[in-house]
Amino acid sequence: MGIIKILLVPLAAAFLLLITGRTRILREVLAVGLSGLFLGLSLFLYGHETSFSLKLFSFQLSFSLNPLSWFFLFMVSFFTFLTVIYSARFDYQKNNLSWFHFAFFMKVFSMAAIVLASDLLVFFIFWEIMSLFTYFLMVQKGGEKDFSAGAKYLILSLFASVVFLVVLVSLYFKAGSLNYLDVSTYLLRTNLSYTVFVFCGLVLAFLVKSASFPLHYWLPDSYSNAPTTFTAFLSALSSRMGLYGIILLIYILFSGDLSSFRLSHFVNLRYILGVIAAFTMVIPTFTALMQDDAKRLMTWHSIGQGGYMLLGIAVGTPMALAGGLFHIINYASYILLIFLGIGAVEMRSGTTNLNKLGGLIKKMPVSFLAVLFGIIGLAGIPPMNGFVSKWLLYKSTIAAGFPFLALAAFLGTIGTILSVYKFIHNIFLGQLDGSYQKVKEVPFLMQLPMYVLMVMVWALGIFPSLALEPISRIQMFFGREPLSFSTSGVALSAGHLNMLTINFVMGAMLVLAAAVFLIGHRRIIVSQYNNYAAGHFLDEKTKYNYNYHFYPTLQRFIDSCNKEFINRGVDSIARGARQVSWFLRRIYGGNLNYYAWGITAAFLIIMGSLWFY
Amino acid sequence: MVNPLYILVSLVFFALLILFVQRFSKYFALLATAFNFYLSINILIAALKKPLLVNLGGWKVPFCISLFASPLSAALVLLVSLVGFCAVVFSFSYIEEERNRYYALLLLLLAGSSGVVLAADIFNMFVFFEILCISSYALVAYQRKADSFEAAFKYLVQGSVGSSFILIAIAIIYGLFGTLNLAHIARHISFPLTFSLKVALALLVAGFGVEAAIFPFNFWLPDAHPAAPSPVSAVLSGLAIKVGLYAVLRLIFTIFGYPGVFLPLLFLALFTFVVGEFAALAQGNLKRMLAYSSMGQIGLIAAVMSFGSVYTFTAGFLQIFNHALAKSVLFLASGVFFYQGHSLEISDLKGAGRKNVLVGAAFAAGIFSLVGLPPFLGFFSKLAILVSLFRTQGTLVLAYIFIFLIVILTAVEAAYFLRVLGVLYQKPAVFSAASGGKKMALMQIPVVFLGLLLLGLGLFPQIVQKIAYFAASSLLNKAAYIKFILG
Repeated sequence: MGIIKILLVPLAAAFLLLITGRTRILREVLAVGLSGLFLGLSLFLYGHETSFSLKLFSFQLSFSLNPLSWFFLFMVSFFTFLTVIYSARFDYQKNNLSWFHFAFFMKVFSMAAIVLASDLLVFFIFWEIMSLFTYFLMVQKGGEKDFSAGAKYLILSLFASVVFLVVLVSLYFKAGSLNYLDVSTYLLRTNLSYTVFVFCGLVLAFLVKSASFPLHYWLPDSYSNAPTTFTAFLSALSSRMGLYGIILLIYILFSGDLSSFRLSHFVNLRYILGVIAAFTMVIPTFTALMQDDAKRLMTWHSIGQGGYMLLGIAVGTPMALAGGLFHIINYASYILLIFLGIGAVEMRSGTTNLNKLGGLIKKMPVSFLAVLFGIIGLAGIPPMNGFVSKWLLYKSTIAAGFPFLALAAFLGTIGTILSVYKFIHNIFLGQLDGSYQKVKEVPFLMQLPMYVLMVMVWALGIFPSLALEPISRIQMFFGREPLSFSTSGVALSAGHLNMLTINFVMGAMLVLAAAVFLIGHRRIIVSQYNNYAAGHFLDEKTKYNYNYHFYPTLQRFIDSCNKEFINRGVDSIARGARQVSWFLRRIYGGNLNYYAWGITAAFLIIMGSLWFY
Repeated sequence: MVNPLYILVSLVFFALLILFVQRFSKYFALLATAFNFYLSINILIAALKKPLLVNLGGWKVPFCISLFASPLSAALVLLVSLVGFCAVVFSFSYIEEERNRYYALLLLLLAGSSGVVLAADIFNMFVFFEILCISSYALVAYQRKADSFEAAFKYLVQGSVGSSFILIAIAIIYGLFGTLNLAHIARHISFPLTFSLKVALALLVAGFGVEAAIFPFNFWLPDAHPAAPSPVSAVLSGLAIKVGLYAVLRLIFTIFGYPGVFLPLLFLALFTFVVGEFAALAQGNLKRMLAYSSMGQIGLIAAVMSFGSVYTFTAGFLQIFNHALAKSVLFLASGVFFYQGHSLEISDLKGAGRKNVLVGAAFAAGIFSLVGLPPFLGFFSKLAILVSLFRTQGTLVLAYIFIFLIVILTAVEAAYFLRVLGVLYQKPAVFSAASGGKKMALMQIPVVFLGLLLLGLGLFPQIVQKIAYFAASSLLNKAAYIKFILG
């Protein structure tokens, strides 16, 4: 019964908030309380394995709780809770909030239902509901751009889900049931071409949702157009449902090694996913580098980081799988942290444009720390959690014999480091613009989730076992060898990583650097309102000497294999459809004689075809 | 009370009453359709247990006029009365001029639709079909604008061609068998068909195909549906074309007892599907877009049904229900927008959904149901269509082509519908609504009711599913049809 309780909580929250949306205090208390209850219930379910089936209306809805679904359920509930606390004081648009909360909690509900489903039809129904409510969240601001971005998303995901539905129905007839177990036993004994058909049909929907290259183009527009708190939530969790789908597909439905599905001697499904992961890691990350908007920059990273997770899942050795799963939770924690920081900056300064911000470090120290912790994690630098999962991924890809994938992962990391440096510098470092003199830190309730996440990001960096413990349960649930880990890292037998040592070394280096800094005396401290130059002409407005447009060649290259080709492809499909449409419309030209001829001709066609019977 | 005759009698009676009394026309219409709705529910409940047969005129079958309410007919009659009732309620404040003629014609349109569905002999089917067609020509021209006259005239010409096809076919059949009773005709027909029967079948498909809006018999549709007042468009798009399709299917599968896939219809229906959905993509006028979308949907329904198995019929009926309700919602909602903003160009509707919260929500429900998203009814019909296509045996290639088209065209459909939805909720709004007060409230009721029905039936699809299954089996069972009517 735990399952039904936990599903009812967000559902109840959605409807209660729809009713109480107009009174602010009641609304926020309810939202925080119910999402807290949701988190509590999901924590309580840790380690349980139950299944449950319910006859709702005309369906047999079967759900089951296993380590994998718990892992995702925990993430959904935990990050929902933090987002809700944060958004209680976040002043986004005041109007229409009841509907907004409704859509948000319906989305949370459908996500919880997706991870708990143990039947593909249930999975599909909630998957569609999730897409629908994601669309509602995306178009919340209501501008023309928002709607076109949202429509891009929903059209693509509808297309993928119709394909999904077709595969589903065909599986239903072949396997006799859509239960995960029955499907996986059927897929084990069927022939290769059908298996590949099923795999491709299902993986399409998941790749769309997880925004993997080249199906990622919808994400930056639609995510960055949502209100920031929900951009945070969407980035941290929504796309990861696609990865949940891929894990489900590979490890539960296919319950086997992808490399056994060979299309030719060299090409198997594992390589294909690996290549997709490689492109997803590299190209979006470098695109992020070119962005001028903080939210947009980070949404590009949320595509790129998905590539790392996909890499781990595709490679599939114990260490790689652990790395991929670990990266999902790490990523969610630090990207949420960064977005909460951006949200704070946006709320106080009114903009997320990187070229207009700067120097906010003293005004908003907590947000700065939040973003700092977040980007250290994002770039995969010790001592934060991102380092551990990336380390696992690098090591496992090389060990499994994929040096080029490892190279792609390194390249992606370089792009990440470059872009996050730009990111934090342009918001928090440098000279302060006069218009931001009165900016102050956000209220405590908004700082609280940032503190929690900072602790989490660092704690998972020092004690990865906190996350590796549930992950090893997942691996055992898949019937695979789990990664052997120690409290503060990876066990000696599996490749030895001790994060405590690394933390000590980092600390020592910090002390050393501080000592050098303090001993050396020649420092000039420039006020944040002063302007200083290195041989350039500056005025009151430009307080700071800077250069930009550093990487035109790189930019051209990235653009050519990213925006240009994808948008051109999508545009040409749209244009093609429109041309077909114009052409077909001409049939209805309005000439009555021509219509009469049409009718007669069609009659003759029917007559002719009946002739052969 | 459970007598299909009362449906026709009450509708025609009130239509004439309205013409003679000249007053209270809308209340009479409301009374007629409400009574009709109540009656048709009872008839459906009775027909699901045992089909109803009424013989008129004191002669025995096959010489009398018989009305036959099989589950299929009863279900369609219920649909007619439901949408008709909603259209009448909507018209209460929407139609302000020449109410008498309007309501009389609308009631006749409903009577014609019910009559075609209930008639058990081919000539009465034709007569009711003519009532349906003629009243709809007049209703299309009701607004007395240049384009509505043009649309009505084109509709009239093409409809007359169709009617004459049907009449010739009836003449051929009567000449062959000397009977007009459908069951009696059915008893005489066996496969392979003789040449004259082939001609008759082709004429019937083409003739009723004009009303069923199957390509290329549907040239009238994109002009006629938008030109009519919105409640009439809802009835024409939601019901009238399905009545035409009913006639086609009843004749092909019950009377002629065609075994297996009916290829000519399948090909034309697939064409209709493609042409309709793609043509809707480039429309700038909301009602015109909806009309093309109806064309696409009727193509989908006809294509599913021409596979000729009980599963595809069930799926097709689910889609008929879904489309009738959803398209009525969309047309009625567009009527609300037109009433307020006096324009149906999509670009003029920016922000219209925000001004009318409930109507906008119902509009969205209609869209999501047509695209096939859970938890709306459309999801189950889409699921049922795919399931039934995987069940068809022998013609797998065609089924796969069809599935491929469904996949592509769902995306196309989503593209044009989401464009409209985006415009409806866009900021800044250009749509300015004069406050309608009580009138608006009355117009919102049927729209919201139908929207909620889509959601409710989506949550409890087994009700519709059961009806659809019975309807499908009654369509396919030639022997039972003959046996029940002729005894």
